[in-house]
Amino acid sequence: MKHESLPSDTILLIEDTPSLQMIYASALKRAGYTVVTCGTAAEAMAEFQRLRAQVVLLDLMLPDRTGLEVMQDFLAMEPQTCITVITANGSINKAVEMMRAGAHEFLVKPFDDQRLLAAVDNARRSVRHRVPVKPEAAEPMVLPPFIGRSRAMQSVYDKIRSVARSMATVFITGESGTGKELCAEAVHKTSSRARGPFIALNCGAIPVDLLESEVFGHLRGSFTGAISDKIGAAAAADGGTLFLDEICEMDLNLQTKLLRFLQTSTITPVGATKPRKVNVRIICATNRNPLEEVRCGNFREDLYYRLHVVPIHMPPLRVRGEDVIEIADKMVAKMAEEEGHVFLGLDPRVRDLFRSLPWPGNVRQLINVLRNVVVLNDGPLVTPDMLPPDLQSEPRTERLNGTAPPTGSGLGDLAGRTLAQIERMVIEDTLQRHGGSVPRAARELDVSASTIYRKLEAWAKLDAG
Amino acid sequence: MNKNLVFDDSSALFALNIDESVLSGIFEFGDEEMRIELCNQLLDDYRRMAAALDGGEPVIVAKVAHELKGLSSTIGAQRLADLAETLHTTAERVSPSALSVLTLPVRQEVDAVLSLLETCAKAFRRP
Repeated sequence: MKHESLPSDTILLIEDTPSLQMIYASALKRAGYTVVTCGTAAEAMAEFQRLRAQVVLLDLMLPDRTGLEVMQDFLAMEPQTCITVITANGSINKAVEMMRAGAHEFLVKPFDDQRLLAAVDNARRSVRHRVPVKPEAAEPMVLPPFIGRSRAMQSVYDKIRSVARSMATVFITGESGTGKELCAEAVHKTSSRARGPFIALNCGAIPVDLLESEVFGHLRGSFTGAISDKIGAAAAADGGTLFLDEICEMDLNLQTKLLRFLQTSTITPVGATKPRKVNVRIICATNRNPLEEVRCGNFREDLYYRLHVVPIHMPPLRVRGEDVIEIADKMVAKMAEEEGHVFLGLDPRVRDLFRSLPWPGNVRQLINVLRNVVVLNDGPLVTPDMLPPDLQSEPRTERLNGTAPPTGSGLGDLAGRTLAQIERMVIEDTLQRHGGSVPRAARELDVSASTIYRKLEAWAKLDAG
Repeated sequence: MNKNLVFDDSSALFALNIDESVLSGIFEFGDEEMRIELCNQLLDDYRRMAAALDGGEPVIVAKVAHELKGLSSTIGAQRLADLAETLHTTAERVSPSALSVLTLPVRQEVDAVLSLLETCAKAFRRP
C-alpha cells in the first residue's frame, strides 16, 4: 500500500475492555507518550492505516476478529511494525503462537505500569534500530558464520532470519557439538541488537551457589567472599543479548528468579534492595529434551513456556548430507593456513568415510579430527592413514537416520587398566547414568562441574589424536 | 488521591481480597478528573459484565468471565479473577444448573467490587 505520510510515533492501543483501555492509556500518557485507543479490530485497522503507528499494543481477544488476524494484516501492510501482544494469564500458548507469527513481545495480564512502559520502550528502541526490509534482495543460501547448504540447515537459517526482527525469546536445542552457541550468536548478529553486547553464560559450568550472582550480580559484602560489587550477566547484556547455555541445569530456585526477570525486565543483584530495569533479549539452549525435563519436575513449566517461544533445533551432523564435506574442506583450508601446512583437500576415500560416519560429537568432533590431522601431517590431501585409528573403527551409520549410536556402557573389568583410564570410565559411566548432565554427575562424584568439562575437553582432543 | 477517603474500611478490602496498593496505584495514573472518569468506567464495565453473567448464556458467560479475569487481576481483585478463571474454563462444558451454581460466587464478588467502586466514586466526588 502507498502512504503519503511518514510513520507515526503515536502508540496504537487496541483493547476491548474500556476500563483497561483507559488504565493502559493513562499510564502511557503519564510517561509522555501519545496514544490512540481502539476497542475493535475494524477501528484498529482504520487507525493503523491513518497513523502508520510503528508501535502497537494489541489485545489477543477482540470482539470482531482475533488478535492474530489483525496482527497478520498489520505486518502485511507494514512489516517493520513492532506489535506487543496483551494476553490474559492462561492464554500463553496463544501468545507464543503470536510471537511465532511475528509479534515483538507479549505482556500477560496483570502487569503494572512499569512493565507496560518497559515493553513500549523496548518496542520503540527496536523500531529505531530496524533496517528497512528489501524484499527484492534474495536471501543468500548460507548464513555466516555457518557452513553448509543442507535442507536441515536452510530451515535453521530461515528461522534465524525471521526471528532477527523480533524480541522473542529463542530456545535452541540440539546434541552437543551441533553449534548452539554459534546459532545464538547468529541470532544476535542479525538482530537490531547487533551493536549491543552478547553475553554467554553456561549454567551447567557454574556452581549452584554462584549462579545467581553470575546472572544477576551482587553487592560488596552481600555474602562471604563478595569483596566488591559485581555486575551480573543480565546487566552486562543490557541493550544486547543474554545467552543461557545448558538452561536445564539451572537450579529450581534460580528458575523462579529468572521467570520474574522475564516478567518484569528488572534485576535485583544479590544484597540489593532496589530492582534495576534492563533491556535484554534472552536466548537459551540445552542438549536435553526440555519438555521431558518439565515432566520430570526439573524445569518449571511456566518458565518453559516463557522461554520456548521460538524453538530452533540444530540438526546433528549425520543428517546434514554433504555439509560434512563442505565443512571439512573449508576447515582444512583455514587450519592449513593457520598452521603453515599445505593441504589441498580431502582424499575421495576420506570423503566417503566422512559421509558414512555417525559423528556422535557432531561438528565439534569433526573439527577436532581435522585440527589433529593438519597439525601432525603435511598434505597435499587428507588421506585415511592420517585419521585417528578409533575414528575409522567407529560404527558406520545409515545416512539421514537421525539416530545417535549407542555410547559407552558400564564399568567393565578394571584389572590391568591405568588409573587415568579408570577415572575416565567412572566419569563416563556416571554421565551416562545422569543422561549426560555434567552438574549432576559432578555432584555424585563430589567434584566441580568445571573439572569434568576440562577432562571431557582433554579426552576429546586425545580421541581426535 | 487521599487514600483514607476511599479505603478507610480495610476490613472490607480484606474480605474482598483486593490489593489496595494496586487499585490506588491505578487511580494515581492521572488527575482528579481522570480518577472520576476511570472509576465511572470501571462501574460501567462491572455492571455490564454482571448483566451478562445474569443472562446465563454459556458462550457469553465464558467470554465475559475471560474479560472479568483480565480486568479484576489488573485492579488487584485477585479472588474475583481466580473465580472468573474457573468460570471461563468451565462455562461452556457444564449444564445450565451447574452454570448458575458456578456463576453465583462470581456474581457475589462482582457485587462486592461494585460496592467498593461506588464508595470510591463517592469519595472522589467529595469537595
